[in-house]
Amino acid sequence: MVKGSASTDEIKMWSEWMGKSEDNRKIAKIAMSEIIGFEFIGPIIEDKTHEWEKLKSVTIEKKLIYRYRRETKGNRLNWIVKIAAIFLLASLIGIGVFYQNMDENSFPTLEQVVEKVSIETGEGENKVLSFSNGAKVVLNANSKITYSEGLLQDQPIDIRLEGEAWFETEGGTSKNRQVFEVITPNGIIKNIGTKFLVTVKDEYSRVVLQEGMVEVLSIRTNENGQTGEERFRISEGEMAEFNSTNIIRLINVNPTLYSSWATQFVEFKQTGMMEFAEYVEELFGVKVKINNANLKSITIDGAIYFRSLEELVRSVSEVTGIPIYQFEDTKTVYIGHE
Amino acid sequence: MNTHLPVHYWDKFVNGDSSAFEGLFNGYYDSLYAYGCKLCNDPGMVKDSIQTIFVSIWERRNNLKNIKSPNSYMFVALRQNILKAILKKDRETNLSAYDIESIYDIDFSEEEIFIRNEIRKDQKKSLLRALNQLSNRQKEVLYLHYFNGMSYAEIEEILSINRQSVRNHMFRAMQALRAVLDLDVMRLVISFLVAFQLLV
Repeated sequence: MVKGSASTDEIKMWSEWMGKSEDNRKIAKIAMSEIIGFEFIGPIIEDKTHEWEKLKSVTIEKKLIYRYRRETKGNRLNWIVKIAAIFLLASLIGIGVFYQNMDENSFPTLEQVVEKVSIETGEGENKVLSFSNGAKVVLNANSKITYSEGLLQDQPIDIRLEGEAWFETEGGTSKNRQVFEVITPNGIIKNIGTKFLVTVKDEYSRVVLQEGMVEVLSIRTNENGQTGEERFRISEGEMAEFNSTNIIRLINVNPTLYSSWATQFVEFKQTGMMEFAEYVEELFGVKVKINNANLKSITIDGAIYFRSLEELVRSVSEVTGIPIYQFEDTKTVYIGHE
Repeated sequence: MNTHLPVHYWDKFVNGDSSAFEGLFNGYYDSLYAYGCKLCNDPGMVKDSIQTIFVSIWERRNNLKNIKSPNSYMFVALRQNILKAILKKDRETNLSAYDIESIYDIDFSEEEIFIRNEIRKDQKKSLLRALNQLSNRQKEVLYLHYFNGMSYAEIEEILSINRQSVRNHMFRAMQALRAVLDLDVMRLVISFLVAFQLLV
């Protein structure tokens, strides 16, 4: 084992160099095992080929089988499809001619009355909107939504968002139907039976998906001025940040840390005390001071429902056995005894 | 054992080359399997999780072009998949749903450690004891860094903790290990001195 120390900048430089290429990573691993004096040996892997065969049968080979079936079945079905298409075309022409010959005034006209509604929130204010189809929107502070009122039950609700809002489609809503279409300057977010958070910032928009599935549709213009459509999907537990030209970041996160201001629910998974402190600072706009450095290594696991800062810290304090307190008239929360 | 992560296959794969899928699987499998076994010590669960994430990336290959760090993406996906599987298993066996600490326990065995220039047999035991006394998070950071060659930025993404926390975990882990190894070397020096004095 080699003794010595490195400065913060040196550690940073070393770490960045390591991740730059796979060759660097290989060299770094050898060097590190020299430095620390030992290395880890991985487990023995016996059935990798079998695992690959298994994977291949449900991915690559599935695709080939599908192609094969499509090609062989195609010949048999070709004629049936062609005949059916001719009948369908003839029927459609017939219906079209029939309606054209009818008096236009013989049908009553039905017009859907749609009204645009805007809702805004100020500093420290949240608003909850419940729709008749069971969907819910929670608007965060300093945010604004504009949506159309008077749409039919099955129509997606178009929402133009500025700021941040939480969207939920539970409560009798079909899990397989699109309920919201959230329009941001950077793209349109379409959901299917989901719980998700959308944040619109100056430079980009962010989606954090807690449940279900979300698709982002982005209209992009290339260097030649041609406009094209790009779609990407976000899975549960993912956070995507995107602007009108690119996806900036797509990572896995703990969604409850982002959505708890709206849901009053947070799930900690091996969350360190430092992370907890940062979370509380950001959520409640307070300062958090950890009095004892030893407490920083403690991690928290579990789920908490809370309505206020007091409830949150009380629950964490009870679970961990660490005193967490706030003096009156101060904006600082203290963790542990001084 | 191949732990050389195949980022070049990733680039080919997300750009439409399906033949790169096998290279991607072969390149990632060993590292993911080893990391997964560290998290849950259940090879069956690890294999199932690896299958799930590879099926997922196959199905979503057209949407993965913008992922900047494939290594982090694969390891995060595996970690989350295994944690979900552990929680699901727990619920089925009526254990506390959030009692992760007791089931998500990283442990190192003697066969997994190779000491360079090993002088004393009990040196390995001391090192092993010191390693297993570290917190789960410290063990995980150490393993990702030294075994998988992950940079701090990648570990930050995999564990969803900030860079400073990664550094702190690493620093504390190394401090603990240094203390053990240094003590061992000291013992060795003393035993040499005693032997030398007896000879004189």
